[in-house]
Amino acid sequence: MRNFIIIIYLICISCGAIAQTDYKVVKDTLSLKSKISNMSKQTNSIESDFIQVKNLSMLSEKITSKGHFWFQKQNNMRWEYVSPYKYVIVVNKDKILIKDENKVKKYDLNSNKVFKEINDIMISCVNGSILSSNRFRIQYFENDKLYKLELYPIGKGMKESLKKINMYFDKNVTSVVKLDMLEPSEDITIIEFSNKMTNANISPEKFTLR
Amino acid sequence: MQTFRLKNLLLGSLFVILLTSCSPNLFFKYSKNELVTETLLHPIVNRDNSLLFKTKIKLYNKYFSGLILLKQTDSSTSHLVFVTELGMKMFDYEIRNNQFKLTYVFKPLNKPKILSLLESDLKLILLQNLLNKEASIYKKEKKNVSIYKVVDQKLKHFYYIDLKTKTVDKTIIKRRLFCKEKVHYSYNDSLFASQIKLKHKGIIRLKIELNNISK
Repeated sequence: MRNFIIIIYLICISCGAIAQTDYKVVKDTLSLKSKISNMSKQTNSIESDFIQVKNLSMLSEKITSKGHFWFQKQNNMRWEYVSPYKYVIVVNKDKILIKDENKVKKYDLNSNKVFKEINDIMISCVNGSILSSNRFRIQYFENDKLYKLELYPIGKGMKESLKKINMYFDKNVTSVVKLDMLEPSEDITIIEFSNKMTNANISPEKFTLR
Repeated sequence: MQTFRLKNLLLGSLFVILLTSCSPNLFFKYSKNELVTETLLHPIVNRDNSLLFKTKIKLYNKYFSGLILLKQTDSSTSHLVFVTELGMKMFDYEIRNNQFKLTYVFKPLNKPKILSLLESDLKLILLQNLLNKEASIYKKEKKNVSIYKVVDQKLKHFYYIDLKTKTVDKTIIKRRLFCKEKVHYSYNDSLFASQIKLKHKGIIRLKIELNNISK
């Protein structure tokens, strides 16, 4: 029995080790930073589908939602949730517009610190410009398919609501393919992008709401 | 003289309307007192399935929306978690043996007055003031509805129970003469709450609406 427990323990340890070695530390971080910086410069617009999974760790419960995403330089963004609920959030320069069912609400981005912070993080995550931000300590990892950047918030305020952001780039560093946002409670929000188009023309109407 | 009578009649009618508009039906008769358990009543939190609600909260001129997840985690514990549509957790209440415990709150929301109001309304919505309490039961002949009355801290709680489904269709909270809050429930075929609407009357202008969505 004792041997059996030791074997199980060793299997668990080795599994953990495999999971950790799945991603290894990037040696040439300067080259990766340069690729991400180029990607950021060359990306004028993004259009994509997304799946968002909110994993509530304490409850072993997942809330999955799906939708479409649009981004246009400098500061235009639209998240449109289509399932299982309808909800649209649009950032148009310094305005935030929210459509919940048929009601549209407008907010001034600069008057709401929380909104502004979330918006800055989301936009800079999507276009990769977050690397130039001094609000995170960043670690760089890679496996044979993806680069993974682990971003740890530095500010005390942000640390209270955000433990870490993981950003995943394809190996050609053309775009962000996935984002994980970990909260101190170990809850995690995972956003995966698919059917992505970069630098396509996006109608200005996408960044307005009526 | 006739004008005087007409005025009195109008004032009298208005007074009667004010008194009865928010009262449980006067034609219900007292039947007995009974401890309300889950055998008498279909609870809102489901033992086997978690429930997800699209939620709208309107407090004075402020509007919040998000998702409420209700889940029973063991025989005596449930959780009520509110997350925004974008995935940010706003608050998490652990409900153990009818006691609410706040296990997480997003800092900007951590204001005692708001949390106290939210907690009392969420207790009301989840029937925490009725389950495992002794209620006076009022019945009406040939009707499928009973009224369960619970008195708690100068407030009278009236629950309208559908006797066929054992579900609460409506809750009215009264402070002395006037109505304080109303909650309306709708259910789907499996008797899960499909819509819950709460409205405060009087000074506090608060509305909460929960609409069930499939995950």
